[in-house]
Amino acid sequence: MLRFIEQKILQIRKAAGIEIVFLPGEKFHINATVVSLKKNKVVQEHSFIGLANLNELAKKLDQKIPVSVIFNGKGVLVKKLAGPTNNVSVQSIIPGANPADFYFESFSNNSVSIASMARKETVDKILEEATRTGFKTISVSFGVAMLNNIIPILELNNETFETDSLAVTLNDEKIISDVKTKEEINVEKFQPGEIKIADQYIKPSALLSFAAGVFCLTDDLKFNPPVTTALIVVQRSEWRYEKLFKAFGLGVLAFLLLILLINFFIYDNIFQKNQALQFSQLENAEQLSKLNDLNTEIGRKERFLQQSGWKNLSRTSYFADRVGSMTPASVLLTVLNINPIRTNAETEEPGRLFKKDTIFINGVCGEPADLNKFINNLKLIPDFRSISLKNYEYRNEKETGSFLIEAITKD
Amino acid sequence: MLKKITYRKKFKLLWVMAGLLLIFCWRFSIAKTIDEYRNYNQNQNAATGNEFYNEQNLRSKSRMLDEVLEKFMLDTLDNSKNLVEVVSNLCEQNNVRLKEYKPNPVSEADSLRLLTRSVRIEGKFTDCLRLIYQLETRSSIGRVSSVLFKSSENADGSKTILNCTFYIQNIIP
Repeated sequence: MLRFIEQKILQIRKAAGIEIVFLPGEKFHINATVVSLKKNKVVQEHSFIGLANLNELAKKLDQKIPVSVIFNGKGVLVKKLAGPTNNVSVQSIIPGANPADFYFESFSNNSVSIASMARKETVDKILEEATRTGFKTISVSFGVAMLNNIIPILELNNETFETDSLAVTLNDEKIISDVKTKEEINVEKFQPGEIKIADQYIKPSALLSFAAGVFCLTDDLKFNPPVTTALIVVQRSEWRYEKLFKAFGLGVLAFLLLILLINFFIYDNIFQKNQALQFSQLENAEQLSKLNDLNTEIGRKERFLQQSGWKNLSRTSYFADRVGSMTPASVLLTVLNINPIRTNAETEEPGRLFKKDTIFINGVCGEPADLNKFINNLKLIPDFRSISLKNYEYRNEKETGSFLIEAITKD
Repeated sequence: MLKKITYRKKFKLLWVMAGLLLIFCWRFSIAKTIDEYRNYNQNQNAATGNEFYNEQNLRSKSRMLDEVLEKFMLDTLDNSKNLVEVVSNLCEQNNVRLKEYKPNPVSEADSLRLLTRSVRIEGKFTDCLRLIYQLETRSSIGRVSSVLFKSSENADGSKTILNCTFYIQNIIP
């Protein structure tokens, strides 16, 4: 999926092919053709013939589009070798030549092998100048190799046609059978005759630049072209990343814009709802205030009932009766204090005047055993959580002891 | 300066910038929407909460509590809540003697004002106990919060007498 997207982004839809023909005396003869891809058809948009230098071309050509350059003419050696062969090299053409000094390109078909080569120094110099002028050169080629891109759609058969510097012959099988370098390079801007390619006519001088343009349209920028130079590699990479940068940049901006737009609609929706809610709350503020007061009041009453124990019936008479019924005849009660008043020190909460779960029992008893029996009796009452003897004091003069018992009741 | 940067670097920079832009979007846009949404939820909860303890529910709850507290309410115009009168009658019925009636200072519990009054009677234990029981179960004079039975001898020491002091608490409306 990603590969498909990348391919779509990197697809070149418009490109220019430039043929630079070297003339004697460091002069050039430049032909250029702008081609584009429209509804999957290659269309020649413009063609410029016989320009003298790159600056002149720069004025006519949109420099935003990528270009493919073909070198021909003096200084470019195009050599036909009989039959197909895979062992063509610089040294097989110029024995003793240093391969590092030349750019070399060759192709073979059933009939012939054609090798082209040019001095690196010369080519690099022109490519650098083209880059300085503003051209984005993504491939470079020599001789007639680029013609292979358009031969299938070339409506010529068993004929010889001429470009400005070369004469190319096609055989019956519609493959290049011969290539000759012309003795005299054609520098005329206006030529008679045109070559039909698919349903359009191309001037012979523009044929190679057209082929170079077509190569650009079918080029895959992820791979290196047949002839690679340091500059071409850099330019291809730059072109690729420029396309990716622009596409993804646009994508990122569109994505962020979409997020912001969606966010805006969501925000606006929530904001409107919130406003409406707040407005209705304001309208009901008085009513709400009353309800809140009522709720507070209820809470207050509930808390009071819970803490005071008033939600249950008062059981003071019950406890008094229970204690009275459990008292042995030998024990005399003097004080029975049910829920006694708290002392100041015991009053933790204001308003709680009584100890709601406590009973103090004072009395006198001659025999401690009887007192113990009384305590045990009290322990039998299920409503008492604990019974504790707080004090017992025997007085000899009265022959009796006074006591204080504390009973803690259950809630 | 940007022209000097290659597109390869620009492409890498693009993702950094995209990340930064995303953070900006989050900080200044999406976060605000989330805040607004939270705010809306809070308001909605508040509104729903108020509706939850709506008037009808609250009033019925309040009525129920008032019914519980009603018997503890002080009402000087209601004879059945007139402590002295009620206790006097009960004393007569139970053969005990009313010895003392004493109102105490008003106190407050949970912002409810409470009046505490103490009554001292003299009689037999069972009679006093019956009186207390009747106050607790059959009257609506208030809450019997505390009871103190105390026996003592009379001045010449010839007789033991029983004093019963009970405390009645009322809510002052």
